[in-house]
Amino acid sequence: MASPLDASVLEGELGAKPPRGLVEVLTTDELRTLVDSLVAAKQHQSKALDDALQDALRHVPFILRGTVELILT
Amino acid sequence: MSTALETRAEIIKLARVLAAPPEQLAYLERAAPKDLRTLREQATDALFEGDRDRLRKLALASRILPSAIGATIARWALGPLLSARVTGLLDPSKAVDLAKRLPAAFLADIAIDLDPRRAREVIERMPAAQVAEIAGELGQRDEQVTMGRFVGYLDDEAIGAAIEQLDDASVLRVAFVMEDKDRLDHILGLIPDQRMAGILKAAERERLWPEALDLLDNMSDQRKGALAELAAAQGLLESLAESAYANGLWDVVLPVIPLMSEASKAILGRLPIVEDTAALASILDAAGEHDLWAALLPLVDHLPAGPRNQVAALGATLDQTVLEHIVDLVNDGDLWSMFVPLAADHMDAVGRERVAQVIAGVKATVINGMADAVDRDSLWPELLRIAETMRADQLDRIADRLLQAGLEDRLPSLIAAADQTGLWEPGLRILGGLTPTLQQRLAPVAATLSAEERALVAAKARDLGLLDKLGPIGTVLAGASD
Repeated sequence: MASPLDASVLEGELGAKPPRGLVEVLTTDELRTLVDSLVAAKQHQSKALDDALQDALRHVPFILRGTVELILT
Repeated sequence: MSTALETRAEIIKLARVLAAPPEQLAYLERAAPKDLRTLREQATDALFEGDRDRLRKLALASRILPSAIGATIARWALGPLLSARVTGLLDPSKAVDLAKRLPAAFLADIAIDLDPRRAREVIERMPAAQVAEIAGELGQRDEQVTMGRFVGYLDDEAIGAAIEQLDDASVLRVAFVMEDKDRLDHILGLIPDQRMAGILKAAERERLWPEALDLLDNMSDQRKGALAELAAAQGLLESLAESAYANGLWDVVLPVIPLMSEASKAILGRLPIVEDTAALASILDAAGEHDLWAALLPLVDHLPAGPRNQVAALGATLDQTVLEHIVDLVNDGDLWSMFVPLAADHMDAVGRERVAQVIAGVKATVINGMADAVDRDSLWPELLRIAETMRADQLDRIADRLLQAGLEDRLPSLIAAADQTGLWEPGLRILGGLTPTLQQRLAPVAATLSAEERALVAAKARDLGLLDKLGPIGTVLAGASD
């Protein structure tokens, strides 16, 4: 079973209290793996969004690009 | 859905949210499905909240862009995952307009990553034809789990159109994995009988009966009965029953029996699997374990002699309290015309004695119900066979209740049954067990018997040493034989 400390790390990443039943059946290592997966997913999404926003501007007509860039920044 | 399957489905969904292969989350298999679902929703929210500001800005920018350009950006710059994230932040009519300009394959990609909770209004506004197109794409990719997440958000027209795009097995699989099954019964009502017959055949062909049976929990009794009729009409009951046996699902199937027509019950009762002693034993085990006797009892009438003997033999070994419970259910369901012959003709002497002990001890209302049925359905010969094993005091206890409701009719019937079966002793003991008041009232009825009948009864009573016990009835009978 995971320690309360590990559960609080997961709670921090989720932004909500994880289901108690879930925390109870996971070992500390498993809970850490889950936290790592969540952190990796966030980083992956954030990086993808960075790239996408840059790429998106290429598709915006020149006349609108400045305005869109202003909105996005 | 079985817990293992539900857990597996939830892990697949969570893996998508975390952009990780499902195998990497195998350690979550010990968790409860409801906990995994909560975790998935929390993770989806966390991912959304983490980039909320930038996603909102993206949605804002889309307002000033023509939809054609927005669609291009969605497809070539954002890709399906980010498009899915931003969908719920778009003005719904703008989102629908963008979707019109995107190919179904890309929209299907978005659907896989979309959190329907955040895009409810967009989903609701999607034209049925486009929903159908996306469903067709998802169907080709075996994305039933994805479709299952959306069913609860679509209106009838869109669901009907989507179902038309899916093959029969896919419809069943989507129904199996759909979230919030509260609407399942209503949705099944949208499917015409002919299509439903095809879906049931797919359950047989693709070995999906466990999935189909799992849906019964969320159906109205009316729907369950209708589907059972359809399965019977399509000749699918045998494979359904075999699957229920193989997968330990009798507790799901048995409650449907009372909802079936007598013709379908007859088909069910005569299936080869019912003649398999091990299978029948498992049915009875399930009935006992889940207290489904009330569901099973109506089937007994339709069983051939062999299985009926087995039911009787197993029934005779049940605990006293279970037997008492069954007798109560028999009375509640007015199933005496099945139960009395079952005990009398299919149980051995020990079994009959056990049933007799139970009947001797049940509430007066139950005896009244049995007496009415015995009289109505001419079950006196069978009842005498059961009564044969009762002690005198037990017969005395039930005698009044057996006869009092219809003295004029019941006395001749009782005597005819005793004559037919040769079971004079229990018959005469019942008459001897009547209270003096009832015997007094019965005496004039006895007088209406033919002289020959009265002489015969008197002779039998004299032989058995019971003439004196018959009181005024005995006097009338003896008068005829003097």
